[in-house]
Amino acid sequence: MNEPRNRTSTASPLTLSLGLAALLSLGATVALGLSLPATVEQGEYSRLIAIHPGVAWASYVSFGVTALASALWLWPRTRAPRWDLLAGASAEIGVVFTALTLATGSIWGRPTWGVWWVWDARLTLSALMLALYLGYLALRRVPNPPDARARRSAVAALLAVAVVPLNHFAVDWWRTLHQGRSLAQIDPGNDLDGAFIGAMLLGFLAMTLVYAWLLVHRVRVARLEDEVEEASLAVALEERRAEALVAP
Amino acid sequence: MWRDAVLVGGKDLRIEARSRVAANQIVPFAVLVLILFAFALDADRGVLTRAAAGLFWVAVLFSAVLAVQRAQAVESSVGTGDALRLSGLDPAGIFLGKAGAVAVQLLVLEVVLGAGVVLLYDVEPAGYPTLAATAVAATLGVAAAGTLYGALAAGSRVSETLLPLLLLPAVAPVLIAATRASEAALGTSALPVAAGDWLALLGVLAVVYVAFGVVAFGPLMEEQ
Amino acid sequence: MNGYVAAGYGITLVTLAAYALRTLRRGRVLARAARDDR
Repeated sequence: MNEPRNRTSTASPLTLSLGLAALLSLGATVALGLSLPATVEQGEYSRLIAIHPGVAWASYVSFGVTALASALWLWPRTRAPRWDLLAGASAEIGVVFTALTLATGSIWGRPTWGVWWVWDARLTLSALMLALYLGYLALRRVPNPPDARARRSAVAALLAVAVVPLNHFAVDWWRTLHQGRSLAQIDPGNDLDGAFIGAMLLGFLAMTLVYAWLLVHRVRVARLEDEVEEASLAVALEERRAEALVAP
Repeated sequence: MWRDAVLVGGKDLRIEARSRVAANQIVPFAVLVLILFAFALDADRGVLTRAAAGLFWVAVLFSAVLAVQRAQAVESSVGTGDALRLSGLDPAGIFLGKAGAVAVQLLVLEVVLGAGVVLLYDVEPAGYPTLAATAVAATLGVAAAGTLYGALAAGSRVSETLLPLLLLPAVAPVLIAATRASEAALGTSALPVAAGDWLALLGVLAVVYVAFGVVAFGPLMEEQ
Repeated sequence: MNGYVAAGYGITLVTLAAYALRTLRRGRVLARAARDDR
């Protein structure tokens, strides 16, 4: 991902082609999803199968990329600023997808259960992921030299990666005690029509492409942020030095 | 490593023995939380008794945040943060020592809170071995996670608001498991619960957090 | 079409579009600033 030089935006041939692919697949997903027939069990709501699993998948991918990039930064032999920038960018996009997962999950459950929230294993896990992400991003915003920021966020990201599966077990065991409402119950089983599975898979593809496109732009933004920050620091230092020379 | 841990942990506990901040401020805070819950839940004995295990552990978690912040503050107020780093003590030992001191303080707190819950929430104590095992495993995990996140959030002006945001989601599984195991021991859960699974999960969590701390504290102390 | 389904699709598309526009705009502002600095 080479940064564009002397450009006025973060766009490039890569982002244009990625963006086009993302847009096309997203359009196809929406078209296919909305054209799905109503099912006996859920009426029209099963149409959400084209987007809810997709955004959930994208949120897991974001999380994974953040963790992987953090590990690459922490490992001395592969350490490079780009991994830290990648981790931060992926986390910010992950927040967006996780929030969408919660919103679409909530909307999907509402007509069936009549409530805006079900404490099922997957939604609860997504809620926890959101909290972990937000903490990670808050940690990144603490004014620190780049090295310290990268190191601390990397540790936080890897710890989060360890916590999520453990929490999955805990919440799963906890909720199976109750056999209550769960999105898994209204999720399609294997006995669903091919068109539904197709819509879901198309949704996975579309959201992955959207994620990738956003990621390239967001990493470039992060790199530019650091560049501009360094430049303004250098300018401030120069001015300070000039003042010191002039002052009696 | 262990020698350094005992050194650092002993120092922290000695400071506590002298200043009594945990005893005079954190323990009363925890009891206050129990009382607030009673106000909020309308002191309908039925509700409090059924929810006692969960409320107990929530109070412990809030107190843990304070205990960790106190452990961090001890270093920065005296300016010993840099001294620790340069002292040549094993970072893993420093981590274990600080986490151990926090754990000891939390365990004492839990005994007091346990008495509080029995008195205030009309709970019949039972299943002591399970309760003790739960407390030890959960406390080790929370203390380790807290010390690690305390180090991550340290040195910034926002560390006091950042620490709870970082720590509490990370110990959510501890809360779930500890509550279920405690309920199993007390017999207050509405459904049949096997404490064994939950205790195993608590053990795994404790091992994971401690391992992370031991490994990560070295790199964290590298920054100047 | 059902209100809930519309809300689900709508929220998703609008949120993604809004975030995308915000990122692109930041990119443009920063790229110009960086270019001027050089």
